[in-house]
Amino acid sequence: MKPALKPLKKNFLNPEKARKELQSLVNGGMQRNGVARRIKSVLPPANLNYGLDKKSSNSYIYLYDTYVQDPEYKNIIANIEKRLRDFEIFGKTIKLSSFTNPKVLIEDEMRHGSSTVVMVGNDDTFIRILSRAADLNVTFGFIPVGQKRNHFAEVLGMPLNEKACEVISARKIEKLDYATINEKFFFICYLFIPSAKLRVQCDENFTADLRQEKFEVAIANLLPPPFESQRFHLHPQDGQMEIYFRPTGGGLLSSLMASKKKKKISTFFFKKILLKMEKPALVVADGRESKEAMISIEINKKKLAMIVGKNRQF
Amino acid sequence: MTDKYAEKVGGDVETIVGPSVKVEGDFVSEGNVIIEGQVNGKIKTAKQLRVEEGAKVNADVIADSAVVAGEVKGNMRLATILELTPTAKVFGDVTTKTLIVSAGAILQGHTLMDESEKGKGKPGKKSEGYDEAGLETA
Repeated sequence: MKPALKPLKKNFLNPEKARKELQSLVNGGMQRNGVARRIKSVLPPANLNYGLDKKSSNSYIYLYDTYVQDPEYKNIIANIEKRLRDFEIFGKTIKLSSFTNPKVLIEDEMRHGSSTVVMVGNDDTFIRILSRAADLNVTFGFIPVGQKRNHFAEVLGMPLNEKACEVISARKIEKLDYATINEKFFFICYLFIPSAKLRVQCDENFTADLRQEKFEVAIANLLPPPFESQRFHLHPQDGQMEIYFRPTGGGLLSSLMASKKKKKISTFFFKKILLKMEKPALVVADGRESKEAMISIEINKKKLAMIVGKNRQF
Repeated sequence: MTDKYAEKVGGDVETIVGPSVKVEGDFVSEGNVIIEGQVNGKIKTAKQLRVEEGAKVNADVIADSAVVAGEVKGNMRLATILELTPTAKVFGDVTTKTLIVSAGAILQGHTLMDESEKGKGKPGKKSEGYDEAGLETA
């Protein structure tokens, strides 16, 4: 037997010690795959964790949205949990209710050593958790469940249901921009104002006056603006967000009479922006609706760590 | 949108000021800029500035290159090339390496083409008594 494997054989009954010795071999330069192959050829099959760089499963917590607890999703959830066990990344599961504050919950689990929070649900789950907890020092993951309302899954490259477990296990992490709205909530995907006359103050350098007529306003980070029909590139990692304005054109007659020139889209990049509406206007931010007269948005310097798939759209 | 405007400026467009938008202040960008509306203040970009027909710029401009089809009131400082189309109107001093003026364009101001020739009094170049921006010294 080659000298490098001798200490491993002694410790194979103690997974923790075996893992440490494996890690020291890898750190010493031995290829990880080579170590794994040699282990399998020498040691009997055992429930050893060969994932050298993976933290223990206690570090993963799974937040289940309310709807996935319905009977129609029972089989899907069972399959997901089975796959997570196969990958040895199954951890504590927490079922969210309408009155649960996800941030408080996650902070509590962080004190117990959790470092990865996996959201199990759909777009609403994604928004509900991240809008409050985006600034926490954890890595977020997402397992989309069901066909309906799962647009973010496509953007992040997460397949649906149990197929997402493999992506979670692969743990490809990207740092994403997110912003704070009115110093209260976090916003990561998009913001949309269907119609308003407003003034825009951008990065405290310049102002744009949009009070001559009504504009549609969209801020894009993880989703493109709704009125942009041409091919669009997402840039959720460049440290800034894009704001788009388009004249609404008024009623049907106005829109027919309006020249093509007036319908053109304006766009700026920003890190900090203040939108002041002439009158309180409907604002939709990551699916939340509200009527606001003023919105301040600032990009956070710290980025959000998110597990993503290889088919992501950025 | 990104693709449609990218054809005009030969690369990814970063900032577009649409026809019904009025901007005031210091406008700083790292990418290409297209102006179709109104800008007052200062414009600075590391790439190309394009002032479309009907656009009005009351600002000093610093850019790598520019194509002007609208109106610019202010000094322009370009690192490489300034192109004035037939509908262009520029009222201010211009500093650039290469200047293209189409028939019908209006250019009212001093022109500095080669900074190394500054102060030598050559025909068509700056003569003594002018500072770096091309303005008369006391």
